[in-house]
Amino acid sequence: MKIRANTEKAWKSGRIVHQRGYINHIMKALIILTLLTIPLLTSGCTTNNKEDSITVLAAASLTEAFQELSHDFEAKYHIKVEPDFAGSNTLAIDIEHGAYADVYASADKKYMTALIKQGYVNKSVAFTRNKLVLVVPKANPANITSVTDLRRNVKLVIANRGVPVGIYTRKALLNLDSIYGNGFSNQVLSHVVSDGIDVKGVLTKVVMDEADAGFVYSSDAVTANGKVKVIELPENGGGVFPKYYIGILTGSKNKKDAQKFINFVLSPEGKKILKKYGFEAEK
Amino acid sequence: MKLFAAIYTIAGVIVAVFIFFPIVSVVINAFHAPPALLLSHDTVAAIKLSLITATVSTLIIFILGTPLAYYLARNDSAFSRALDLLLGLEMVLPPAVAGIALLAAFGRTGILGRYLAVFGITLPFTTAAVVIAQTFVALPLYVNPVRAGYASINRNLEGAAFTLGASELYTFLKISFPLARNATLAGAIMSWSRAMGEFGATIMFAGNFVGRTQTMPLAVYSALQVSFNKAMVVAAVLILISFVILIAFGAISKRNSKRSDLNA
Repeated sequence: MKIRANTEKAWKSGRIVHQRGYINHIMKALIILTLLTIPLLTSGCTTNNKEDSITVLAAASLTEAFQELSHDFEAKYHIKVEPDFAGSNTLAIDIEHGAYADVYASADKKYMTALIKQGYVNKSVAFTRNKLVLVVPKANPANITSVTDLRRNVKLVIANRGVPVGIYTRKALLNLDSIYGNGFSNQVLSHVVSDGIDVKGVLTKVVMDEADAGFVYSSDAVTANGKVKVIELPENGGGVFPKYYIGILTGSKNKKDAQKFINFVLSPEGKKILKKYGFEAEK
Repeated sequence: MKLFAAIYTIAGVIVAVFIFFPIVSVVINAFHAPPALLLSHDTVAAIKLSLITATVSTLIIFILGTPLAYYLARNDSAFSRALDLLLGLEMVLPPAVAGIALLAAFGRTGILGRYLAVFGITLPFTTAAVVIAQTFVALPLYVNPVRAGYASINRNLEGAAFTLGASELYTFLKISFPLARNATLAGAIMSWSRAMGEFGATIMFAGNFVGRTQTMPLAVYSALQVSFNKAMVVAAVLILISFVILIAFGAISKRNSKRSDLNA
């Protein structure tokens, strides 16, 4: 109250009159800016429903391959593709909580099955498969040449047990127990220094030379552009072949183009791109 | 004036609803989750780690930041202006950038980190790295209010102490520091909260390992990979802790301001 009284006094005495025009300008600018944001806000809530575009939610490991696929698809059909990448499970949670999309591509059957059960997806098709590999930084500071070197005290990064690649890593290590003896997997897991939030989280730590080794998909190793060395696991990836599933969301408003996109992924052209990024043909 | 009252009331209500609903939704969701999730080993480890690291970071910030804030409040030199600029930059830096910067400097192959490695010290993936990341991002949040606190002190009081023969350090400890008590407390709470919430720099620089580097925000994100319910529970605990701290802060600063009223 005291401040207000003082201000009013100052105002009446003319002391701050000269400031008035200046303040008015700022207020006007603020109000105009506010008004300008309203259409932005409302349009922000309703994008992606356009007839000639589709939104594709894809597993983080598909990032580079699907970027190229989308690009080629756009060039061929003149249908805009808006891809969004994250862990398959994060995307599934997004979909369950109302995220709008036309296509979902999962790195694991589990999340696709869950979405089908809940009615978010009608049917899905396996379109490619991946392989688990060990990667080390190009300089290979811990001098790792085989998965058995993980018995030594190295800095290992694996993915969180919630994401598919984390589940596959643990499964593959358990499989390797049959070759290297019981306790191998436990010994290796005791050298884990960090849990990657997703497969890219694991790869980054190896690319940046902070970790000595990490388990990623062969497709991710390809995207690292020679910054990592790939060490194949025995039994072709520890006997683990993650299959990738793709399906149209029931909430899609553009199922026709979504189907076109899936057909494109399954076409020889699509398979060629997937192969280029380290994915194998689904057998 | 009535129109303006209507405008600020409506704005207040909109903002309140906007903040209130997301927070309350987390708490409601958490109540529906099985309580076993709260007591799960990694949740407890994350709570412990967060409380310890945020407190250690705040102590470090207090020890380094207090003299710094005093210096910045009392000096206007090229060096102080450069420091000011650096602190400002730190404040606006996205945490992920802070994480990359810390790796570039203190990582295993970083500019300074490679020399540390010679002595067998590697910071990434250690609890020390968590504290470094938190200290890095939270420092300006302490220094800025505390500097303002020292700047607003009546300098005649310090001058009086000097004329009575008090040393500079004695004056600081007995006069300046107590007078800037509220600002110090506000800064400490701000930086503590920022440290508690630190995510980007931590996951980049320190990694994500249960019990060692997985603080609560990282635990929320990791839990999200496993189950939505679990993430909600950890998030609710984080909200609860922040709430309790804010209430405590409110109570302490109220008591303090009463005391300084009496002194004045």
